[in-house]
Amino acid sequence: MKACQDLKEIIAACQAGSNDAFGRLVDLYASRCYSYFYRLTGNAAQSNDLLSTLFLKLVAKIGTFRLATGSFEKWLFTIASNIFRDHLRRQYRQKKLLEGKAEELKADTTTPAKADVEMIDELQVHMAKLDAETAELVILRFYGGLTFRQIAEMRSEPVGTVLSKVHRGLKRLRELMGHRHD
Amino acid sequence: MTENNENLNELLSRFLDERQTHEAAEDIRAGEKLLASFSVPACDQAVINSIKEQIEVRLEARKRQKLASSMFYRVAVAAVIIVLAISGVKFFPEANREQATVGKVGSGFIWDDEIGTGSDEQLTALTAQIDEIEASMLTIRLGENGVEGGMILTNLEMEMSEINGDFWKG
Repeated sequence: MKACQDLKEIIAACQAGSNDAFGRLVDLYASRCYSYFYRLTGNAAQSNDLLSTLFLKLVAKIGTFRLATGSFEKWLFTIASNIFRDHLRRQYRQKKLLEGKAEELKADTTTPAKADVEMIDELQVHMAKLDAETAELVILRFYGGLTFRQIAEMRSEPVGTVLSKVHRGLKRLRELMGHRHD
Repeated sequence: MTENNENLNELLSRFLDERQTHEAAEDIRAGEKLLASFSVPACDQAVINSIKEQIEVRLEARKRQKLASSMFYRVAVAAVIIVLAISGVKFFPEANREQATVGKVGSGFIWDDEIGTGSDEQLTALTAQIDEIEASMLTIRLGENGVEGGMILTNLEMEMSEINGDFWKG
């Protein structure tokens, strides 16, 4: 309850334009948001860019957050999710542009699986085998630290549907990885 | 990693029976345990510092913009007040003068018609009476006295025509 009150105070200060409060907000959420982006992209450089975009967008939009009624984390990860979708669309356009060009240019296109090979672990490889929506739900739940209810509200889906998708996703991941980590 | 302290069993039991709830909860916990065994590299502190610097720059820019727009607003309001004040000084006295002129032209017209038909004293008295009635009619027409003007106006017009009649009779 105290942490919740502290967060409200920080957000109120951010809405008043306090630089220190924004600094605290970055300290509080940078790690979780970075993990979220990292597991979605599998690329550290892209995750850093997306993280910067997220916090700068937060500065622009913090005034629209309803402090009295809203869940800040749900709001934050909704913005993060939209940023990731924009990123995918940009990547898709970039890929389309490069398709007609030379083979070496093709090699430079940043698909998550090829972009940063040394940083991609086994989990990342198998996560990419899940459908994009399920993978994002699992990542929101685990790396974003959101509750099933928050994810359901964020996606405008019934909580039962979200539960079922995350359950199936995690089960599939375990199957893909041969239960080696049980 | 997770900070989502939701009662998973309670949530699942809304949709599943007891056995299924238990199984699903176990699957989810095992899955999350699997995810936890793969660490994510920590976000570089240099990146975090850079984000904070960018935020500071944005906030400064926003403050400057706010100040500039506030100054612009104040100057605009002051300009509107000055324009209104100048137009007030310039136009309202002219409007008064115009009213006064209309009044005098009316009196003058009656005066011209009456030249040579009565004594100076009678004319002066009559002109004063007519001016007074005209002023009253104007007030009533403009509704400035806040009273229903129709009846009063008729009375005043009758009074005026009576005075004019008396004058012609001598």
